This record gives sequence, C-alpha cells and structure tokens, in this order.
Amino acid sequence: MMPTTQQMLAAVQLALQEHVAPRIDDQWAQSALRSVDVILNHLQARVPVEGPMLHEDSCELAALLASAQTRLSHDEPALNAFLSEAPALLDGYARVDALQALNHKGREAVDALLHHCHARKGDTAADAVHADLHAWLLKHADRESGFFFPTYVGRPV
Amino acid sequence: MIDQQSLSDYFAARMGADVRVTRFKRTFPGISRETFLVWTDEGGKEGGYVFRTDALGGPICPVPLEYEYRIIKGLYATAVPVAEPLWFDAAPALTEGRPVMVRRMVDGSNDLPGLYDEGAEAAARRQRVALDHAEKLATLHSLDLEATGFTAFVDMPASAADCARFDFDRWMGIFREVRTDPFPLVTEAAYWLKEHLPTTAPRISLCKGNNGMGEEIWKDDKIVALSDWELAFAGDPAQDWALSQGMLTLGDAETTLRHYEEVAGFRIDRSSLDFYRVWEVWKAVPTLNNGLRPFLSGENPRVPRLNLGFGRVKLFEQLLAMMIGKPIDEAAHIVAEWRKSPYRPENAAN
Repeated sequence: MMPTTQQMLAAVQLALQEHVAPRIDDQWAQSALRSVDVILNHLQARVPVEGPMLHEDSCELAALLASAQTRLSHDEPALNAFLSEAPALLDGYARVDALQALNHKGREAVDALLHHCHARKGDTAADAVHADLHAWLLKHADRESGFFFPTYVGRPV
Repeated sequence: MIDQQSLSDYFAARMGADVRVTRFKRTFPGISRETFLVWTDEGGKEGGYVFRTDALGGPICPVPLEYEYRIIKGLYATAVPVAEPLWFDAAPALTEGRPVMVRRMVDGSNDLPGLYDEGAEAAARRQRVALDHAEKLATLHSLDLEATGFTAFVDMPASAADCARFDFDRWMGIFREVRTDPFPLVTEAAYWLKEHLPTTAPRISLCKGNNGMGEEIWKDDKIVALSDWELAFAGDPAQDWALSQGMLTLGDAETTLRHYEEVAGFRIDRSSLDFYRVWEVWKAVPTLNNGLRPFLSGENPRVPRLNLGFGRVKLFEQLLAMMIGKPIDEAAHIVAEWRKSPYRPENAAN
C-alpha cells in the first residue's frame, strides 16, 4: 500500500521536529522552521479534502449564481464567465487546480453581486439574493475553516 | 544580501571617509522591511545607526518607506520621542534600488525583561509602563498638525466627525488595489462595518498605527523612542488605542485610559474604541495580503510572506466570519478574547 500524502507530510514534519529543531538556536532559523511546520500542518489539513470541498462548494455556487442571474436580470461579466465554464468542469473528474481557478471565478462573481445587491438595497429581489449570498459566504468560510484554524493561530513568524 | 564591506563603503560615502562599519546585525523579526543595527568607527569614536530598507519585492504594509521617514523627520522637531532621522535614499546601489532610511541608534531596547513576572511588584511595574506609554500617545495625539507640517503630506479627514469614514474609504481603495483574491466575505464585512462607522471624534490627531509592546524603544521602563511609523495616519485617537498592542491589558485598562485623558485633555469614546478594534481586524487583511504579491510574482518566494500574506489573512477572514452581523460591542469582545494570545496578530507585519 502506498503511504498517503498526509502520512508523508507528517513524516517530514516529524523529522524536522526530532532532528533539526533541537539543534537550532538562531532566531531566524527557528522562525523559518516554525513557518515550515505551520505550512506542513496546513497541507495535511488541506490536501486530502480540498478537491471534494471545492467541487461541492462550486456546485452549490453554480446553482446559487444561476438563480441570482435570473432573479436580478443583471448582466455581470464575472458571473457570465463562471456560469459558462462551471457545468462542463463540474460534470466530470476535475483536477484540483482547475477547481481552484473555477472557485476563484465564482467568488469574483459573488463579490461583484454583493456590490450590486448593496447598491439595490431595499429591492426585494436584490435583498433575497443578498441573503443567499451571505449564507453561502458563511458556509464557504466554514468549509475551509479547518485549513486555517487553528493551524495559523499562534506566533506569526 | 548586504555585506559589511558594501555597507561600510555606503556609510563612508554618505558620512565621510573616516567612517568605517565595524559590525552590523539584522533585527528580528522584520519581515515587511529589513532593519539592521550598524556600528561604526568614526576616527576612534563608536557610532550607532539603524539602517532600514524594503524587503525584496516590496514591504508588506502598502506604504512607501519615504512616508515613514517624513513622519519621523516631522516628529523629531516636536516633544514626541523618536530616533534622529539622518537620511532617506530613494534607490541606492547597495540595496539594488530598494529605498533606505537611516536613523541614529537610540540607547534602549524593544524588550522589557521580567515585565510579565508574577507578583504585586511586577503588576505595579506593568501599570507604570502602561501609564508612560499613555503619556507618550497623549503627546503625539495633541500635536497641532498644521503647525508641525503634517497636513502637507498626510491624508487629512475633512473634519473630526469624518475620521472613521475617511479611514474606511482609504482602506477600501487599498483593498481593491492590492488583494490577491476576491475575498467576498471581506467585502461583505466592509458593508457591515460601514453601517457602524463612528461619527464623532475628539479631534483629528496624528496616530501612530501599530504601537505598544514590541513597537517602541524603552529604557528604565520609559519610552525613549516611538518607533515603526509605517502605518501612521491622521484620524481619531481612539483608533490608536485599538492598535496599542497589549497596553490596555498590561495594567487596568480604565486606569490607563483615564490617565491618558487627563494628560491629553480629551476623552476616548469607548464605543468608538470597540468599533476600531473590529475595524483593525478588517484592515489587517489588505495590509498583510499585500505582502503575498511578491510571493506570487516570484520576487520574494519566502515562507513568512506565504504565512502572513495567505495563512494569516485567511485566519482573519475566519475571524470576520465569526463577527459579521453581530453588535459591535459583541464583535469587539470576540477580538479582545482573540488578542489574549501572547503572539497577537497585529505583530505579524513587523
């Protein structure tokens, strides 16, 4: 059986912790090692779940943004760019980097729509779309929470 | 990399042929900008200087080094304690075109050993240190900005009532310019904060930006130089207290603030302070994210840029997600709990 990526990253981390960290007394070297340790923690949390997370997140976003486009009757280039690309990519197996790029486009569209909805505050359709976008934002933050929390809590450098 | 001979040649060219660098040391952490302590022999006398330059690919804070130099130069003529500014060099060959500023080294340290010891004596010492810091901030915040020349180059709000709105607009512009990701949640948080902007301030003050522990030079428990001015701005003095890294928890917060108010002669609105505590979390996103740009372009592919400009920024985004939509006092309480970490997030951009 092949070791998983997580196991391999953990082995690298253990080697650094056991054999390198105790021998270092330079402040800059200690800081570099702390930073590397944080990145290894981050990767162990992110690598195994990032693909499925992005797929699920982007599928939800595709439905949300398609509905927003209809309800707002708003022509937004970032929204069109995402919606024209999403179905084909989400339909089959997609590489993680392609999912990252698609999700980035989707979040650009969300950002543009947030501005649009705030500009139309008080309009029933805009307020309803805004509520959906707000809920999705919190869900997205929750989905990727484990990549950053508590990994990046603590000494920053 | 800067080497001793090149540095020595540079100082001799600026100060005279009899000046020779005998040793130098890069200060830690210094990720946004690189700071070196430089000791010289000047015809048998020892000189000490602080040499500061942008990191490769530019600083983390989206503010030019020359701005910081001009702030320090303006303050040197006032009662606010700062190190003597000596020169600004826009693009010397020594740093391959990165800007440089040089100040005279001040006798003191940014560290106060034993400050967090147990016992009543240490607690009383912490309160004294907090009161000294409060007095220095009061001196800074009481400056006449017109008379001291700061209005000539520091962006000024139209009125005291406009301070929060002015800072909000300025940083929204920076956010749009520097962000490496759409960050829609940060946009949504900005709309939430915009609804709660304070509409009063005691006056328009020159504010230091990051201040307090880790930022200043101390000697015998007194501040001898307020240091690191890259985030200085004109605004509500309450905002500086929101950035006073650990100073309000060093002793009793109300005792410290009341002492400040007595010296300054004006009051800090506690609800404005709450707002600015939350606002500073938001501002940390564009400030730190700017540092990721040289990482992504390959100009500075080093791990601190990655951790501060990406990981730390995403952590702040998570914090904003926890607070968004809540009453500001409740959100400020979340930030206060967060700040109890000994390694506070505002230290990240040093």
